[in-house]
Amino acid sequence: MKNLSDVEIIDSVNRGNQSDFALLIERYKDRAFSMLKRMLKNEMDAEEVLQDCFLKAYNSLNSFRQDSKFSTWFYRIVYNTALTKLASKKRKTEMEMSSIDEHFDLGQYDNEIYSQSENASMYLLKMVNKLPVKNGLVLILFYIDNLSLNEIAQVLNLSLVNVKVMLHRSRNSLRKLLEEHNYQEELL
Amino acid sequence: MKLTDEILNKYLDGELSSDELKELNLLIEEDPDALTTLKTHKFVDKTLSKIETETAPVGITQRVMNIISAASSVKGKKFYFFRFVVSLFALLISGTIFFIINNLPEPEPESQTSLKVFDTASKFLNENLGSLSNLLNNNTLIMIGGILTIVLLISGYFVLESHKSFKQKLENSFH
Repeated sequence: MKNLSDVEIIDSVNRGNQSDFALLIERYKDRAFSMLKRMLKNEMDAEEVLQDCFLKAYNSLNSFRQDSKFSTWFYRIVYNTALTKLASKKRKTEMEMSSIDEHFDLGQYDNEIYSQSENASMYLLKMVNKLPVKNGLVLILFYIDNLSLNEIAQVLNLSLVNVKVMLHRSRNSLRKLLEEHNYQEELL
Repeated sequence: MKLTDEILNKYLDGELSSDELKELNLLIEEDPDALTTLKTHKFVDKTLSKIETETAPVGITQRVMNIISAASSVKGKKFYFFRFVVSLFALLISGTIFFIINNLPEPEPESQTSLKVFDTASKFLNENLGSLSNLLNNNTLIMIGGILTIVLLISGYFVLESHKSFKQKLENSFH
């Protein structure tokens, strides 16, 4: 059963095999939780919203037209539900302000993270957590979920150009940080 | 060619043309710094695919599935109840139609029908409206009204009860 594609699972659920929805939950819960924790910055809120997202997805499964991937459709639910939660906590403005023009202020965390990191990989992965929220989401969706830039644009309701700029800026900033610490010598 | 951020990202995204790729190869052969920058950029790309994901809270799947089954069992019960109410109404309507049909006038001989279509239609309407108004004037109306009121009251009671039990199940599944 675990080898079934998303579409096969959805068809099965729509045919009345309600319990098969658990397969989709198992498949997406960790990645959705990562997105939510990054956005909401609170474990309890992230857990509550994660549950809401799966219930919303289940209740709207009939309306999923399969003209996009399930992951794109589901992550859009996750992103919008998190925004609603932030709005209720009046932190949505803060999130919306993290636009692509935001200057990366990674310097304030740099020394602390550098001193705690044993190698370039560890340093880099820790610095990813300090990127602006939307940049972090773009990286997760691109590298972990293997979504295309177009699909990421749909999930985050951004233009394709903006998503591309965010991805490139994140890579460039991280490379420059590695160069500042002469990590490139370690890589040669 | 100058090794810019744009070229580096185009390289990673596989968007360099074959000419640009040749130029880049020449550049990194001649300039060791450019090679280092390219290697560092590729390292960033490779490392980013190892971003660790958070682990969702234990039991989240079970909790969501409990809520879904609680909701669907209540929905199922509601569905049966409404089917019962609709069937009851359908029975009442069928009874009324049966009553009207039983009071239809006897059909005229075929030869005269074509000439007296309008007369027959008006006669039929008058007789049926007449029987309907008789129906509305007698005790049958009071009886039907009474039955409908009882059905509506019973429906209201069951809707309220099913709403209560749904809320109860939702609360239970949260704790």
